[in-house]
Amino acid sequence: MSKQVKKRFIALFSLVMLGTGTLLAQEAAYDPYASVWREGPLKKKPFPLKETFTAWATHFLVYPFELVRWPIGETLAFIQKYHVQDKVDWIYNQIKNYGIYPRTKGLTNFNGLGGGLYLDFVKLAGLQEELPDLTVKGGAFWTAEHIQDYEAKILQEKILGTGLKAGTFLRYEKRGEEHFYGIGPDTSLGDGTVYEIERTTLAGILGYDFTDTTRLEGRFAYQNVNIGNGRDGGRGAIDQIFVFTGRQQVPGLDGDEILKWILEFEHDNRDVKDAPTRGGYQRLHFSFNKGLESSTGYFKYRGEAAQFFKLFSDRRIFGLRGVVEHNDEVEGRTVPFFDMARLGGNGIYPRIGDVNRGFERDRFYDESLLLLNMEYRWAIWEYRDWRMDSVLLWDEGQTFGEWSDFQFKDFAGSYGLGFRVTYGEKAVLNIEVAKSKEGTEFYVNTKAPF
Amino acid sequence: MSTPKRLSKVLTIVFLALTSAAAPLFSETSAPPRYDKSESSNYRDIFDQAVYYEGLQYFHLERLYRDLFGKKKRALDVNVYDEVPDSTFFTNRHGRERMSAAALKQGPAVTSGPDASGPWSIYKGKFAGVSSGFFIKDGRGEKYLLKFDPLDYVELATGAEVVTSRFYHALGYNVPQYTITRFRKDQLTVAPDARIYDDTGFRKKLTPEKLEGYLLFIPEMPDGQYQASASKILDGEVLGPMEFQGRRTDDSDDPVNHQDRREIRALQVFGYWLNGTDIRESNSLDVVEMIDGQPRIRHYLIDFNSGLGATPLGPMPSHFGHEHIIDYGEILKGFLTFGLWKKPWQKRWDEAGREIQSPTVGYFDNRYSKANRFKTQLPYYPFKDLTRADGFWAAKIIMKFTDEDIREVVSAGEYTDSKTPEHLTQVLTERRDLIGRYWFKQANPLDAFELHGNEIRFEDLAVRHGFESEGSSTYHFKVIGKKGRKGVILAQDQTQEKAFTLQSEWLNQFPAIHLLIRTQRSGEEKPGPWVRVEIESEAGGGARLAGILHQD
Repeated sequence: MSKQVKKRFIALFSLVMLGTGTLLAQEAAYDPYASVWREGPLKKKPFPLKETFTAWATHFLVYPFELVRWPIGETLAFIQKYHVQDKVDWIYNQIKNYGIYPRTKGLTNFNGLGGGLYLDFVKLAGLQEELPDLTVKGGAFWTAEHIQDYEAKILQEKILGTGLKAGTFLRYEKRGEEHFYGIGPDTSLGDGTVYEIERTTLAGILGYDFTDTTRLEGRFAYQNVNIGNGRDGGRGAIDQIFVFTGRQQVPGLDGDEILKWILEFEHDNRDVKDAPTRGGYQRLHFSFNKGLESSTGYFKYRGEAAQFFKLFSDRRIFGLRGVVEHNDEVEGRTVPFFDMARLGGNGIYPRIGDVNRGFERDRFYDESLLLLNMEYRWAIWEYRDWRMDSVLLWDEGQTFGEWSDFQFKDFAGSYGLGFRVTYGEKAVLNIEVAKSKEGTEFYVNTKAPF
Repeated sequence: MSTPKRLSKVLTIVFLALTSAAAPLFSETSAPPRYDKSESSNYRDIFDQAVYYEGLQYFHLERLYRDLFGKKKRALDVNVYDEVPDSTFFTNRHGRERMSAAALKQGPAVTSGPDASGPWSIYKGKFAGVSSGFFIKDGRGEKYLLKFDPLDYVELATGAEVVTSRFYHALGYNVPQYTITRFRKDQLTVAPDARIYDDTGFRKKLTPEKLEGYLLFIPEMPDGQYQASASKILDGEVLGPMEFQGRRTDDSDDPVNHQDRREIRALQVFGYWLNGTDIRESNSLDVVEMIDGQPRIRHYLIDFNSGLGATPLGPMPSHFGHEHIIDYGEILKGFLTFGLWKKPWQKRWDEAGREIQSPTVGYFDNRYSKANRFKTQLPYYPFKDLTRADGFWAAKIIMKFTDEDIREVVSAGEYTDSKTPEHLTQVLTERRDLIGRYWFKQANPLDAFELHGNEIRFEDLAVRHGFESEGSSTYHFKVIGKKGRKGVILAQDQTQEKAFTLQSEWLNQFPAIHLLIRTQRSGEEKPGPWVRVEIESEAGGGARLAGILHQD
């Protein structure tokens, strides 16, 4: 290479390098990702007084709630860290596997709190594999409203490989605060009384399960009933108002001993029991009831049907339920008040009165009942297996004596709104508020009325 | 001893006493820093975000004010050029410079996964709840967390985890290494002290017999192998989850409240792209690492098996991405409309015949998909604080991914059925464009500003990506001369050129010129949001680009 060429090459190289350097310099002057900030270097201030003051001034309303947030957050973190929910779930299932069933009751108020324990003796004895169709159960249930319920049951199903079943049960039930306002549709809320009822039932069962959804069951039962004054003195004791005043003849106030011949049929094809979206159930009840040493003697006829319809979507459900009941006294005999049809409340155990949610529980008693319940339920929240429905409800019903006493004007209606939370097929929470001409009733339960 | 000597001795003692007393103050700088630790909890996250903060959001007066008056709070970690510089939270990767196909596919992986040549020793595990898995140590002594697919959905969650983690890495986040790994049953051994939380909720010794039982709940490949996503355990001290609000007081690298960090806010946009419905604090991790020889806290995103069409429990439920866990607004809408109004996710699910795309894809498509309607499971404040400028920034990065880039990253999922990567690539490509189209409309999508002499040149990203046709846009310029805080409008002009020339006299007259540009598309009545370009006069004549600001 000649000197001149070398010089030219060096000059050219220098120019290229210079040019590249300039370009690089320009590039460096505008690096879009450079740490160049509008208000000085981005660094932590040792004493951010202004920020602290601003934070206090704009967040002071929140700070009191932090006192709540912290313990809740820590508790939840503890539950997760130590798998507390898994432990509880496992322990509960283990207990159930051993045949021990804890039972709790939803609460409408503190009086509604309740709980109990049921034992499956076949499971307890570890014989469920050898005796899969035998049920030997016993249990007890108490509530803060002075209800005690003890039950023992022996039932053999699938006898001879058929749907035949037979068994017996014994039940003792004591209710210390039952409401009674008199008989008929025109009673007054102001005349409310309470009574205590003690009922002991011994029954034999013979039935047949045609399919998983259809069954027929007959029962022969002896029942001993004692009536006394209830615990809620504020309402007035039943014997003072209805016995001593003679305001109304109330059959059965002295209690009774009754023999019952019962036949029941049930068909239930709801897709799920707790929050059905389709299907329904039909129940028929017929019984003859006769007092051993009293004037009691009557036939009870009761029909109940519910049907659920999807309104073009499983997120919109219409539920319809109807009940007809008539207690027809045998000539010259009576129907005791405690076995009459009852109406009022949400009808969820341990309540007995049928569903008319705008009224107090057991608000109406009489020999006959006509009732229509309607619900429109629609999904408002879903998260995996969780779902919350909103419910518009309407109940319309009345109690009356004979069919000839029935009058349209005696219908008592209520309407309301509710929210139901389910997890999978299981009801978790049911909140309802219902209004009637007599006031507003509020319910919180773990299941729906129908 | 003479007085001066005594005095000097006393002074020496006093000095020594003072210095020794003060020693801890100085020695703290050299001692290893101590950091606060916390534990993650999904339950606490759900309570905090879905109940507490959501319920009290309007007790925050600043938030109430901003919502009432439509005020936006600008992200505070953006530089003068409206970009997010690299930090311990975020590193500009594909957005800054195109990554190679190999780099995209490799992601943060430094190994190919657990060493399959030797046995894997399980030393810890959890086999209940949402994230079941085993911690293993391979023959090289490296530790991994193995996570599996739901029983009937082999490749679903493991594939989603590996693919989405690579996307987050390429976007700029710190992500641990996730790889698809396959193994035989006989490769697993149980360490003598291995413990596992099983479905009883109790921590028990893991035995080979129990392991055998657990493997029954893991889907088996046709060749008898098991597939897992293997996450390499991060080196360094784990401090717990990164909070999306507030900041660490013990970290000098953490000067900005996290809700004011653009890269945290933008998780809302990136989450939509990747269907990352489960972005939450408990799926993040602060780790102390040695960076440039100094212990510093790096902030990681972890757990990506809820993404694309997957969750660890099965296909993505139909309402995910459309509603928060507890979405008060949606609940109210559902209540007030008596169920007569069908929500978009319900329409989408019903129109799909309530069927997922496939067991490996899960449920992932773009029907009724809107870039501004995506909701993560938990409603974090920073996601609500996302501004137009934040969204534009995120969209700009996403639009850097070509169809080929996306296909390359998806291939990291190692799906056996070729239809799966095809479907995922198609949905991600469509969704990328949905994001670009939306955010380039919300913000003024002018970018790549350059100053050539007195001429400002720029690029219109909406045109570049084909959302707007060339020549269909008019750029409205407003020139403002700035002296301190005061500004004077010097000129207003409009052009269809993607360039604007500054008059020299403006630069001579004012130390700074602000150029406010609005873009008007054909068919639009008025121009859209502004972008401000700041030019400063230089001492020796000429000018330099001093700042860019997109309207929030």
